[in-house]
Amino acid sequence: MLDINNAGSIAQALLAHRKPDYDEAESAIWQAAQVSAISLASFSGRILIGIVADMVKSRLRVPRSFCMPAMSALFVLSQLLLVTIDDVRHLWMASVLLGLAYGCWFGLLPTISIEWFGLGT
Amino acid sequence: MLVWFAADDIHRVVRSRYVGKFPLLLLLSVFKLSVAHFSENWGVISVFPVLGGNLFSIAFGRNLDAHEPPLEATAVPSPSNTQCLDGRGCYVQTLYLSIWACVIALGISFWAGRRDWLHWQGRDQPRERVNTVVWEDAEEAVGPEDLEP
Repeated sequence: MLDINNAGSIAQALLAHRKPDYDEAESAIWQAAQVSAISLASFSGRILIGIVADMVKSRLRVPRSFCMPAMSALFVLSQLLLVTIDDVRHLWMASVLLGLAYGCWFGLLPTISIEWFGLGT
Repeated sequence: MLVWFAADDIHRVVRSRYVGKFPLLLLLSVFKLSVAHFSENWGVISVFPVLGGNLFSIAFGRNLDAHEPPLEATAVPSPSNTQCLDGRGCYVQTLYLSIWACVIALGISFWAGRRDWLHWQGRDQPRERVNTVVWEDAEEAVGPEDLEP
């Protein structure tokens, strides 16, 4: 949530690195690109995790919650990538990874919630 | 915490004044009490990113503001004048914080996965027990014959 809320600030900070006369219109384009990357990756993640979680349960015969460490590892990876990136042109990689992790997480959690606590009546 | 773990009635939990103060306890109550309504469970779980997201965003904002260049007395305030020019250095400290949070989440995920796995294995136990019972029955059936001289 931290990075999704502040993707714009991160893009602007990277663009304005040692450039007090940076173009604000260009900054807006980079900011929109990050939002698009996160949104598309999040959408893909929600579809992907449905397939992966079902395969994990039906083929590997293990609980769907085994996907949770993988999703958390994706989050850690996206943060580590974000720390290393110092050029706004490469920021999309961290945004895609973060969006994918976020989409997967929010696709997986409702199913896990049903498995753990039941659907109710 | 002990009172919360000992709680077995949802009303007792709702009456607690700490529900609004420390949301983690609310999550623990869901785990502990297993409210059997998906809409309630998912509703509670969905609220937590709002809290965590705002908390980390405040940390991010304060860190970013702390790296603003000092305003000159004659400068007209504008977004360009207040923009941090350190690049990655403007926000990287907040990312270290979020990395730690993600590592903790990773640990909890492993714990949850292991817990679920043990639950699954426990569910298979009755089948083995049925086989054992059949075997014991067979032994008992043999037993009385052995006792006879």
